[in-house]
Amino acid sequence: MEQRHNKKQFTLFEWVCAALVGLIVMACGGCASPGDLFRDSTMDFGSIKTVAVMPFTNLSRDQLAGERVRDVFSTALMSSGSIYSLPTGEIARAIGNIGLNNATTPSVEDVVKLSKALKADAIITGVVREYGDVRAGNAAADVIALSLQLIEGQTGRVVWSASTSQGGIGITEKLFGGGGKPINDVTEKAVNDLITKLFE
Amino acid sequence: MILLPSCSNSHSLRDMLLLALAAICSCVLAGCANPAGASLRFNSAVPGWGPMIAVYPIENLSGAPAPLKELHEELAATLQRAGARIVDQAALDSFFERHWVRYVGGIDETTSAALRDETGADAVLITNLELYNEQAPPRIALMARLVSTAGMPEIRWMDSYARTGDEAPGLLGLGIIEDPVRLRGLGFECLEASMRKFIMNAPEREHKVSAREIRENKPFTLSDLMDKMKDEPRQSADVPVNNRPWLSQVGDLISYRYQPRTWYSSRDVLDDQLRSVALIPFLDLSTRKYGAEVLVLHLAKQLVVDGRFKVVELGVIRDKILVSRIIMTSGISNANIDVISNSLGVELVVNGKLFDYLESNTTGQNPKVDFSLQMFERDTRKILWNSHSRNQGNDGVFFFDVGQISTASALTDKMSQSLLHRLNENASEKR
Repeated sequence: MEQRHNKKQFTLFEWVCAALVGLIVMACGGCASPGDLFRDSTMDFGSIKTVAVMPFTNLSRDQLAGERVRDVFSTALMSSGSIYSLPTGEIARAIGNIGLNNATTPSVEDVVKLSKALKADAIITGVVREYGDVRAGNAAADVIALSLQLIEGQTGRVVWSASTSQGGIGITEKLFGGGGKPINDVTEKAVNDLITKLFE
Repeated sequence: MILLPSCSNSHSLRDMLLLALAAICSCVLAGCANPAGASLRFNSAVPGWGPMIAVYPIENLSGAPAPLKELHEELAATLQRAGARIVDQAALDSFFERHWVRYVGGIDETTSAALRDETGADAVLITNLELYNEQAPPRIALMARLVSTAGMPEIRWMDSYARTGDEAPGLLGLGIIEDPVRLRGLGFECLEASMRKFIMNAPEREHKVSAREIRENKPFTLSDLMDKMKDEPRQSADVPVNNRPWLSQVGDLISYRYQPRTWYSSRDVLDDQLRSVALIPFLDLSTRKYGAEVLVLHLAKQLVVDGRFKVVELGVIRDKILVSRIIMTSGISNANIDVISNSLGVELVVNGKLFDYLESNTTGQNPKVDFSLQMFERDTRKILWNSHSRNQGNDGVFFFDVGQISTASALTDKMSQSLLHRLNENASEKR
């Protein structure tokens, strides 16, 4: 008696389809957001009209990176037309008045005091993790890595936090050389990315 | 056989040669042309014209040594040749000694009044040297302003000149200037011609009511005070205000090349009254010595040329800041705005930060300027305008260096002009 096998044989077409599905799944996994965004779902972001952008912590080699990025961010935030960013001189005066020692990373109490003194709805703090050129072999390109936090003025709670990284050595730089985009263009791109994340 | 007329054979060989010659002549002339416009030449037979002018010694903002005495003498000689009425140098020197005048980059209210009384000067010509290099190719950048001495010193005329010797080489390099004396002579003649043109044919400005008069004549009411104390004016515009035309996104074409990268405008109307503006010294984060001072001068020039605002003399602002002991380590605060606007009686206060001010050099580096600017309103102290500008000398240059800018001075001038144009567009009544 001939024993029949019930095992199904895959055709070539089915194999190709399965391979394609696998490739798409892998590609989607690679493109997935690394989870660099936090948003407090209970917060009404529409109520934030005035913010104080604090001096950014600068972890890069460029001594002026924090001030440069802060200025670009502050102007871009205002140009969005939704939020008023307080002048840096006024923020510096308030920092001096309340005797804040570490303006880049204020405590909850300091945030409440500051927002009261400045009549600000929220405080934005940030860290410039990387700013300048990176090298890999013969290729070099400018890169920026930046993360921001939005702290509610009344409670001192972090209600939004995001980070971004732009520029660097891509496939084009590796293959053809070249210096990539200038640091200022990369900075603007990073800042626009963060503002998009804030308003989305 | 019928012969058809041919378009390609319409010119004979003689015609073609003549055309080629004409083209070569045009090229040579274009290369030798002075980009700042033709300068007028005068002789001593021309009678004296204009107000009595006290020619201040030149202030060196180049950050490098320069023959200031020679330059000052050449400037005075150029003005004398043109027939300008200038205060005698010995009288001016003795005035400086009597009043211990050490700062020559501007004039304050007290010095201005004393100068008018003692020397009879109606105006002061203040000149700043922005760039000076005698090594081939020579480079020079000058700024000059005429400040009236009647009442509160006010800038009436302002212009600048910036050029490098190899800026317009022309055919076979015939247009290259290698002699620094010739180059600076061209600069002085250009500035003198511009000033003379202003004095002889002052531009007609639209008559506007002074905002200061309106403010001072308005009776004080409690409700007005309450309105000013409210935080409502901080409300931003409803629509994004940095929407730029598509042209600027693709290749930064023509006039959009030097406009601010990002900007915010409160859209308040600023041209319905004649408002005074005070340019507060900018925070200098660049490596260029006196970079912020030079930037302020360029902005002042564009404001003066535009004529929509009354620009307070920079020396008066400096004096008030010193007297009030204002120290601004990271920008202007509300308290500083109050002090400055009340003491100067201005409606608008401008402040900013300079990040980069790099000159071109022999290694082929392009000039680069990067700055941000904020304009504040005196009563509400809110920001009316906030922008960030950044450009290089080769921005928008694609073919054969056409449109290349060789000095940071000329680049800053174009950026300031474009910035003011954008500001006026957003703050105009006829928007």
